Amino acid sequence: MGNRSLFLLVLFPVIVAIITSIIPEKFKKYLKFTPAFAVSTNLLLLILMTHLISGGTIFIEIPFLKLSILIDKLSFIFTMLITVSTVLASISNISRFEEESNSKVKIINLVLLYAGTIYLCIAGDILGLVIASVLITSSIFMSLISEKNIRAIEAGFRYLFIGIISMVLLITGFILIYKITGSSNIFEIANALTTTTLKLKIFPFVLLLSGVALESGVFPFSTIISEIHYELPEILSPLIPPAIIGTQLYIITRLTVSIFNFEIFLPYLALISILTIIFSEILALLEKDIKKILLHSIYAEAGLVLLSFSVFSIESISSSLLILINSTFAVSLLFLINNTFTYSDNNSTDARKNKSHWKILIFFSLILTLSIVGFPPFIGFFAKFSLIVSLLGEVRWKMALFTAIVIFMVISEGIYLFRILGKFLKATKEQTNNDWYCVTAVIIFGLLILIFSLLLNSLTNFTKSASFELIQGFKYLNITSLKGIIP
Amino acid sequence: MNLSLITLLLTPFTGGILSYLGGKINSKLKYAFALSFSSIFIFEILLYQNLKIDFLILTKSYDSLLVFQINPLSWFFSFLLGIITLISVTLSASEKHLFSNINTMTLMFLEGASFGLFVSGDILTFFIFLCIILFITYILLFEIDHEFSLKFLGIYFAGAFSLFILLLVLFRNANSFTFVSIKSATSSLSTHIILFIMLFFMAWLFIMTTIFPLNIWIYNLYSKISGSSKFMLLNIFKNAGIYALILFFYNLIGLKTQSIYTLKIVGIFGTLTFISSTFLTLFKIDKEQIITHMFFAETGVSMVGISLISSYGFASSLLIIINQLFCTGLFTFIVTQNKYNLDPRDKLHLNKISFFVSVLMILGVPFTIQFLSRWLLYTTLLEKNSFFYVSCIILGSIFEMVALYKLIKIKFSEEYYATNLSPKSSFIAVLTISSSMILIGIYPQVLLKIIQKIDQSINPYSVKIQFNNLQALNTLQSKIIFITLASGIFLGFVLFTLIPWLKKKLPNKIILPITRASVKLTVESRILIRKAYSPIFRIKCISNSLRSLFNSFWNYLPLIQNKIKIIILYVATALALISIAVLIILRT
Repeated sequence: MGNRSLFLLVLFPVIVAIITSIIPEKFKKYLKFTPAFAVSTNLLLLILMTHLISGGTIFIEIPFLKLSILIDKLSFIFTMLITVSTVLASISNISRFEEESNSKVKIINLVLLYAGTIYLCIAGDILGLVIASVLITSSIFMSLISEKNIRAIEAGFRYLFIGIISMVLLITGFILIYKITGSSNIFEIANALTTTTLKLKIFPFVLLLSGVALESGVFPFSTIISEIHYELPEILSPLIPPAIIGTQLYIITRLTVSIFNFEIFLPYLALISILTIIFSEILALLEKDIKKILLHSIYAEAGLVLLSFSVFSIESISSSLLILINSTFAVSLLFLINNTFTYSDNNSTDARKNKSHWKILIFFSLILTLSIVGFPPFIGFFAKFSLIVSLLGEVRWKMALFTAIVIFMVISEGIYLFRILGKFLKATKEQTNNDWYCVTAVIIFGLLILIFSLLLNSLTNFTKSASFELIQGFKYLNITSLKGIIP
Repeated sequence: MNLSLITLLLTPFTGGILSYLGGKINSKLKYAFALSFSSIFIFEILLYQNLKIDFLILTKSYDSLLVFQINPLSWFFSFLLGIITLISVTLSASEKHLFSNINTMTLMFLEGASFGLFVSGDILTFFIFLCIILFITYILLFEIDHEFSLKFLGIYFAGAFSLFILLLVLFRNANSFTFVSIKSATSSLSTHIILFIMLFFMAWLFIMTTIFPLNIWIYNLYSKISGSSKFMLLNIFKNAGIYALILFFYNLIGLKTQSIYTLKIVGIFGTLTFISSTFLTLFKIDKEQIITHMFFAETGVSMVGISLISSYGFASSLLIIINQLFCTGLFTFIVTQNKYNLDPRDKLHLNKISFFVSVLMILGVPFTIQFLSRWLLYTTLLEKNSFFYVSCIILGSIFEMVALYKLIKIKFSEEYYATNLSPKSSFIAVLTISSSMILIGIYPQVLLKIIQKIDQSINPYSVKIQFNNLQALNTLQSKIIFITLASGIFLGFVLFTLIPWLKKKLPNKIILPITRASVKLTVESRILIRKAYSPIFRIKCISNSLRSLFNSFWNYLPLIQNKIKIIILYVATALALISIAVLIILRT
């Protein structure tokens, strides 16, 4: 496999989206499998390159386009998270694509969103980052306005406004960086910024961070963005945690450590994340709508990821990645289960079949709830536990404050997630979806959480090596030989 | 690395899965798998009877996560766990309509998780298995009601939370989770850290073992649960708590000044638990609630035994645990049979006999485990001049006797309008439990030897229990033993044979007034209880009932026309006097 073929990770979904848009009417019945096919192929590609990633970072550049791809362990984790979640979301929506009228537009939006998010995580230059952001923003906007719901359309235009501001901030920031460093490649930028004075680089950093924070659900923007996320179609709602929030977290991580190497910013990051956690948890406790609760829950989890990241040790960054993996999968699945219960209200169903479906859904809801809360022996416990263990080495006030925040989070999550579980339990068996595609996706998602809990040691080793690489920054790389695989 | 420990751990889990799958085919297959695997577990545990210390390290992370270790103490509790599960699974066979396949599976899983807790070699594994127990309990109670299940989980999770803080504090100071490292690190800990650790440990222990004042309201939670699940949960939570108490004070922290004083507090609260639980039984009319309260009460006494830091007290507390396990099992069997069963096969009156045996067991008549344990306890207490404990335990014992009298009364009032029924499945179980209780009571040396081994392994001040003393006591008290046994047999004869015979033979002229009087009394007592439940009259009614309790021995006696009551009251008073006499003899 030639290394350039890794561009297929982005190009293949885009090609699939183009083909879908021009596909003749007689092949329409095969359209429902398109997203699952496109994303599964990418997943296969990612699995094939696992050994390359464990060997070192992959960096490929197309000289004439000035575009590059960078895949290190951190971006690999994010890519895998997004791909696996999108595969399962696509599988669960197969029957929905079949039934709905404007399914073609929804499929294209889903595939483009995936392509955008995946490109954002593997982009090795600032131009790529901008292109990916545009792709994400446009696909979200398109999916909102293609809904037959006036509130969704309103939310779509509101999002367009936010998206434009965010894009302007990002592009301005990147232009300033280009002006300072004279390069668009993030290796070279990182290298050049090490010698730049703090005064010069603080302004572009703030601009970039504000652009990212605007869409990421971080305090104080979470209330604005939550209304837009709430109106997203049910097909996309399981993708909010990995694809929308996850990518923003990735950019914040990359910017803070790899590119700017801004350890000075970490206390402010901790403050923002604490505020995000408290604010989102309180909002989630006050909410009654399940979807809104889940949205605030994922914002709070994102806050926790940033909080543990701000401790800035190998142990804590590893735990932040574990928290991200756990919360992304678990909340995505809860979104999926929630859709399953509400979706089938108007369907006539076979009660005998539903009984087993209902049991499966409830069982996995319970497992996920406990995993998010941080109940042993699930992965969520080990993620939060390793964070607390890493805090034991810190100064006493910091340890006490951060532990108190984690405890507050555990308690509030316990309250509202069990409330959600109670609502799921009250849903009658007749209200359960009679669709095996959806249940299969739920089972695979749930089993993934259980497998992660069982194979915790290997997962922890991988996240630890990823965090080690991240702390090292790009220092260990030989900048002169950028092409090909760098060991 | 020893794989037999992991085999042991996997046995209940395999049994659970197989019984679930078997239940999909046939309900008999489900019970066959569950019973056979719980028996295999006991057999496997017995293979470890040489009581050697064994280790198994599964993975290495966070400084040896998942270390399993079996020692005499964990062996003892694991063996008890095997018996608990076997009884519970047998009990579940009597509640077929309540028990789905998942419930049987979760019972087996609970066994596995509890075994993991007992053999955990580090505090993190201990905590993880504790949480697994809570999670499985939540699933077990899920089918009753989600809200209820959540409430149950919430209470015990609050306890687990304080254990988690304790875990972190220990890790920060010892830099390791393993018990061995913690033990070596605690010697250099400052006083305030030890006190801090103890505070959080006690918070967990109070919830886990349901010590005073939690016993006053937690019993309500258990009233909704089916017999077999209740039996399993009560025993598992209590045993886990007591195991941790012994491990913590005798092994991890060691018998320092702070731990001795904390143990004294445990002892005082144990006594309060005993008195409050037995006192509350006076206001209960439900059999299951009375049994639950008596269970909590005995847990309190076993706490007192452990808190005395002597071999005799330690032995007494472990003996109480065994007695408690058998008695509660037997009581639950009988109550469950009365409640659900419709299979009239009890021609041998086994039900009544086993009920009578368990009553005697709780009363603590000679040749029972309870007698031995009480004797060991009183000896230690009197040696230490702890008259407060002695007087409290005697007072509680009197309350307990009244509770037992109530149980008998309820039991026999059921006899009048309902046939006592016994299923084929539990026939053998009841017979086995009763006979084993009697056998252990008559020949407790085997049990005492095991307890002595445990004591020697953990207690640096271990003293050998003198069997000669026990024999001497038997000779000395032969008259008392003879009288008590004779009165017991006579009581049994009157209760089970003479009264039913008289009821048939005697004309209605005599029977009717007795029945009326008993009905009147029951109605009056119920009104009193209802009043006692209302917040306004509660304090007043409690004082009234206390007064009426003392008066009942003197003033009400001639008024009561029911002969059964008179006999039982006489015997109860006689037994109370006997126990006081034994104490006086021991003291002199």
